[in-house]
Amino acid sequence: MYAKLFRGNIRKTLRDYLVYFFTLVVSSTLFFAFLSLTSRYNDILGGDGNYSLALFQDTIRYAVLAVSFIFIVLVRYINSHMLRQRSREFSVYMILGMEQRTVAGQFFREIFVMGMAAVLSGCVFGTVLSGVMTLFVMKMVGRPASFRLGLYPDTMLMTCLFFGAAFVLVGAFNARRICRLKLIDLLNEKKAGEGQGMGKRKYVFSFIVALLCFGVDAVALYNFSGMNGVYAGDIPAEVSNLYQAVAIVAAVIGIFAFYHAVLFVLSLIRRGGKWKNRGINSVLLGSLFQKISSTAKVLSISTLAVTVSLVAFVVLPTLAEITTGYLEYRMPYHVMIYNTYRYIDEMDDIPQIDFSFVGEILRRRGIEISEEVTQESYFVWERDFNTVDTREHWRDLPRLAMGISDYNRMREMAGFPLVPLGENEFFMHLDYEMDMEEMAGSIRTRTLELDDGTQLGLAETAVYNEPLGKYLFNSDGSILVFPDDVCGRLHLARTCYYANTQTAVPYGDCNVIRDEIDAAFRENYGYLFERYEEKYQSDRHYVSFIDPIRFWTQENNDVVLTAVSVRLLGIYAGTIFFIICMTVLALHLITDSIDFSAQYRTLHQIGVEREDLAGMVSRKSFCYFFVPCITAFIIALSVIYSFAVRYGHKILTYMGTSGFQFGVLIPGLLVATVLVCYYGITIYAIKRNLTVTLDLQARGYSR
Amino acid sequence: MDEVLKLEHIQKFYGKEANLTKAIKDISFSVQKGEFLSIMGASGSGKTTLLNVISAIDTVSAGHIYLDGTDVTGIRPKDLARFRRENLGFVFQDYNLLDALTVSENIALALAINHVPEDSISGRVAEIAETLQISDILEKYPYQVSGGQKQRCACARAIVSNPKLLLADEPTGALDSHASQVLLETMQDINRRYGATILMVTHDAVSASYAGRTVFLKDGEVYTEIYKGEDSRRAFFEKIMDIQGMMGGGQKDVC
Repeated sequence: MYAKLFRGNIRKTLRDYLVYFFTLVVSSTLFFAFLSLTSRYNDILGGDGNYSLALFQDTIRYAVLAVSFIFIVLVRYINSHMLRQRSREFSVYMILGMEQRTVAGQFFREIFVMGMAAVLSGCVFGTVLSGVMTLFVMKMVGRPASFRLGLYPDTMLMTCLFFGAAFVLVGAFNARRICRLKLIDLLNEKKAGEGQGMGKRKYVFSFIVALLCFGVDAVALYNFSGMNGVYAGDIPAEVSNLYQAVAIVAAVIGIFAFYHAVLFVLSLIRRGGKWKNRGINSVLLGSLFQKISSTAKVLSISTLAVTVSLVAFVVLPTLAEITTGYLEYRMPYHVMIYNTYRYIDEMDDIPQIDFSFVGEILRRRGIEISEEVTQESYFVWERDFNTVDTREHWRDLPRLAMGISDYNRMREMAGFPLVPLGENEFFMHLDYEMDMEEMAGSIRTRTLELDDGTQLGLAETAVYNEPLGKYLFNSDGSILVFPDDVCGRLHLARTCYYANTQTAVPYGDCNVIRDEIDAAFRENYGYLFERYEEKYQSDRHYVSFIDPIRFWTQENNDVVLTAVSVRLLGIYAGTIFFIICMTVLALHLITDSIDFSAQYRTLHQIGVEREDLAGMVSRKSFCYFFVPCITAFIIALSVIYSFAVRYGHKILTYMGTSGFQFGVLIPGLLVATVLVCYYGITIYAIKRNLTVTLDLQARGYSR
Repeated sequence: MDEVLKLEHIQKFYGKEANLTKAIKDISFSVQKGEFLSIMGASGSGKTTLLNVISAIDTVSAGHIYLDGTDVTGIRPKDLARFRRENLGFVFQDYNLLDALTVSENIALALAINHVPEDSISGRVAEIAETLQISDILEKYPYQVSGGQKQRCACARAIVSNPKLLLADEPTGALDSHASQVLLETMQDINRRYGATILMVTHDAVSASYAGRTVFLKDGEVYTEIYKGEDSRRAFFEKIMDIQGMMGGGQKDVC
């Protein structure tokens, strides 16, 4: 008998909570597919000398698990919802004499079995999706691959354990709740008021708060976008952080006040106007008011979660794209060593570094250098030299100059054509992210007079900005290029090293080679460490005299795989948050339609046509579903806009406007598709419930 | 006759000192075995609360309730489920049949909960269905039958395990007059044929007239009680209406 009850309840739960089941399947499919990338049985993704997937796999594994914990919130919410909906049913069991723990156990088993059925289905679909994702990762790292299905028992086990643990945890919590509830409370649980509403003053207050917050948001964004004209490059982080923090905090408060503000507007419409007395508009208004006032918190959180999801869909893949593009700019050479004088107090202590030991270290490991340059930078004027004590700010470093030979050597190694420079001429090389035309047009100094009286005139081509690496610049994203003989008369500021190798530096050797280079430098230039290391190493911004030391292999591996993982996690987090919100909204509407069946029957009995009822139900569902989504969309757009303002130069440089627009459009289309699917399923279920209710009524029956 | 139910000075309060609601102020009465008792009163008189405390769905604030000699108020919470399934049957106003089960399965559930051997369940279900004239709808689901049929199913579920006391909370509340009549006649028949002790709460004088005795509640206390005795149902109904008139409420017109 209990088995029949169990089977019947499972069927009923599946029918009433189909949307939840669908979400469980999708969530477990995604979880499985993503986690399979980290499976030790995934031999399709195998590292080689140039790649190490360890960091990528760790990132994916822990990030997916972290994001997936939000899933427990969904399970708990849905289970509590089910408990509330079925409280009357459970009270009947108990009144019939069923032990409370038997009722609790029955509920636990139903939820667990339904949940695990969804998870196992998800594992099957996840295996297929895993093949697609593996292919995607292989393409992203530039390795050949074809679609292949793999078997990942460890991933299957992890998926079942994770979701199973969530069901057990939540189920045990609910079972305990059922056991502790008094029968009289269970009997009356659903009678607890829906749509009690607040006082008029609180609605007005919420309306004002919402207006103010969104107003602050708009003003902050407007002023922030104006900052672009103030800075040549990207807006400094501290300025961006302030504006974005204000905008985000205002938006969050505004969201929570928004739905009560909507209630204020609805109450105004209800009070006056002819519209409400047209047809059954009053019923629509009333039921909307009741629904929104009882679920305002849920709607606010859903709006927030959809906003986060939309932002994740756009921002994270964009960051990934920028990071990938930035790599080409940041690492034009296979080996790059940066030198700084920042923590040297005496100009005469600045070393002229002989980097021949680097070649020796590489050769010892069988890596031959194909081309190299030791690039020297000079103080344009000796007064430019400053120390920790005399600098106004830790970034207060002057523009330096370099010789044309070193400059052209760097261009040649990076694959760019050589450029000429006449005697007594100079030009400027800019950071790749800067707008060259704008900078060229704003140069006012056309002649430079050096300390020894030498006059240099601005060359006809005043500005170049090919990506030669960020190490070229001292601080402000530009360097002057002088004739070699002029540089010979200037004081040395820094010596950096760049090299291309015949074979790639193996990934696994990079850290060891770095340490060897560091040790060799210490040995050769120990006086610097003796004089300055102890004095300055506690400084917040302290770096060693040659730091960083970078290898293309390591950077490429870390950046490309980080970009891939960020892109994937953006899609994962965005999808999970989004479908969780859709599920919650859909469920509210579907159970609402079941709870309201008596009202529909009454309306039909007093003469309302089926079509009008169906129309009212559709409009109510549309408002309840799309108002949070449209609100989230608008707020997400403003967040994405602030992101575009903040990283505008990088986006233009590494993605281009069309690339960015594409990066917004594609996720937007995907989200819209998912939204329409969920809305379609919801409307179908609601209209089916309405049809069943009215059909039963026509035959003299009721639910 | 044996006393099946005895209420001694039971009280039920809700809320705290500053905001105390006395749902039942002081009620004492008893019910004999095989009696069909109706409890009448206006909304807020404490009828449903009384039913809830008798069936141990809710607890009393003071007083004692004895069912066949057992002090219901002293039963430990973990023993209440067994007490209910062994001694009580319940009929709700809104049927509360389980949609996931057919009519026969709904009735059988009461026996299964009581650990009746599976072999004998279907026989007992068939027998009770025959008595309540619902044999032809046993394989249907609750949403496929009428309100009157649903309520007869609920009755069948309530009495199939031969409870000492059948409690009915406004059983005709959701039924039309014809269905109400059929149900009440069925309950009378159960009372006569099986000797089932029935305690029915109602605000409807017509329904109350089917009982053998009617207790009137007003503001949480017993106002009065009247016996049907040898009176016809019509005459008993008239007496009930008179009492209602004196209580200051109730309908004057007979349907």
